[in-house]
Amino acid sequence: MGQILVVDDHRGSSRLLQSLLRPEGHGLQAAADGAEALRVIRAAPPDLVLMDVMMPRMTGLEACAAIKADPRTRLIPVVLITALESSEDRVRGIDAGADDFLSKPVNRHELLARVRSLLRLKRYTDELENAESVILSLALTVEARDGTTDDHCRRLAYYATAVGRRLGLPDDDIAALQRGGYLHDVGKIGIPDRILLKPGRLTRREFNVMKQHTIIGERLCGNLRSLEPVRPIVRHHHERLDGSGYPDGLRGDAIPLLAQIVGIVDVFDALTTRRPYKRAQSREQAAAELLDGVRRGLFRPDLVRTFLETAESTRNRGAVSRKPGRVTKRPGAVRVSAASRGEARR
Amino acid sequence: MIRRATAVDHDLRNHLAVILGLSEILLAGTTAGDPRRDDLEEIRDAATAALDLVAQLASELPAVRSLPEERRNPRAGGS
Repeated sequence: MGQILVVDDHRGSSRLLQSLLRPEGHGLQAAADGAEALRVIRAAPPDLVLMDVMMPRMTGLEACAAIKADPRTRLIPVVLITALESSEDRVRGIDAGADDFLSKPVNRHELLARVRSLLRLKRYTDELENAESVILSLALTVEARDGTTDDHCRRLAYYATAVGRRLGLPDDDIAALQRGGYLHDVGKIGIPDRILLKPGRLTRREFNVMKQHTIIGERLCGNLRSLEPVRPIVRHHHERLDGSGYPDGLRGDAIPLLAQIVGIVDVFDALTTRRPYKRAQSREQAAAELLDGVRRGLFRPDLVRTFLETAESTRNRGAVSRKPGRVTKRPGAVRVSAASRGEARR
Repeated sequence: MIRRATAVDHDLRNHLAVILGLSEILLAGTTAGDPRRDDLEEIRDAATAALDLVAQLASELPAVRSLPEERRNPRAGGS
């Protein structure tokens, strides 16, 4: 059973579909054209959309493309129903992102079978999404364990994606940077408090435990296909070009690009944030330290340059501020972590 | 003329599909021996035959089917 939106400008056709679906116990909503369908979907997202193709004002193809272009609705399966049946129609439908097709007159058994299988798929993707939000909650829990920094993860996601855009990276990479910003330190959930929150310098043994957060984090993300692109960021954001980083001591181009970007932003943010064991440095000092890292062969010069340009231009616009009273405190936006503490304390 | 034919084809199928579909639903709700069954079967068969006729007519208008504008919005220049 699920919530199904029937979209058809022909009242009789809409009613027929609803009469076929109602005995199955589905919740039903109706819309008379594509534009109305989009309004209904945004107000109360259904589990499945059954939509006529030929409708006045906005066609089913246009509405389907709009549903699939919006990240909030793209996982809702859309079945296009058409009175005409040609492979050309199907190609257009596939281009618009349709998940399945039915031709008029709709065969009852065929309709119910498709609806059942697509609702099953929807439940599955919902569960995956839920699993992803559990992992995100874990990351925010890690932040919450140490309240000395403001919104570290949010800033990291913000700057990492801004750098990615400036470099002209594809949308998938930008999305990975966004998630990577939040999830990079999720593995710290597995690090004992006495090490994570230790005010003084870490011993060699403690630091070796701290390093494990990259491996633990990757493992936490490991079972989720949707987090696949984020795993390299989580595992490798502490690697350095000269091989001195961890956990694998990768060198040069062997370090994934997205992990290098997050690594640079992470260091900068850790330096400019106050910690129990150190004062916050000014942005100028932190920039100088990054450039020193370039000279020592730790970071790629072009990436550091792009990041510093990004940071400068956003500062001028006042985009992400840490000044008291200016930091947005949304519910659930948690204060931040021991950040790249292992890094900053070495 | 071509637009008009496409629009009629589309709308006719819609109407007939509703008659066919609802007659089937009503039929499924009757038990054997119900006197209304014969009438409902008559409605269903007539709708099926009419849908076949429409399909036959449409197949004789191949030029209509390949005009994307009309397919996008059959009511654009029609009723």
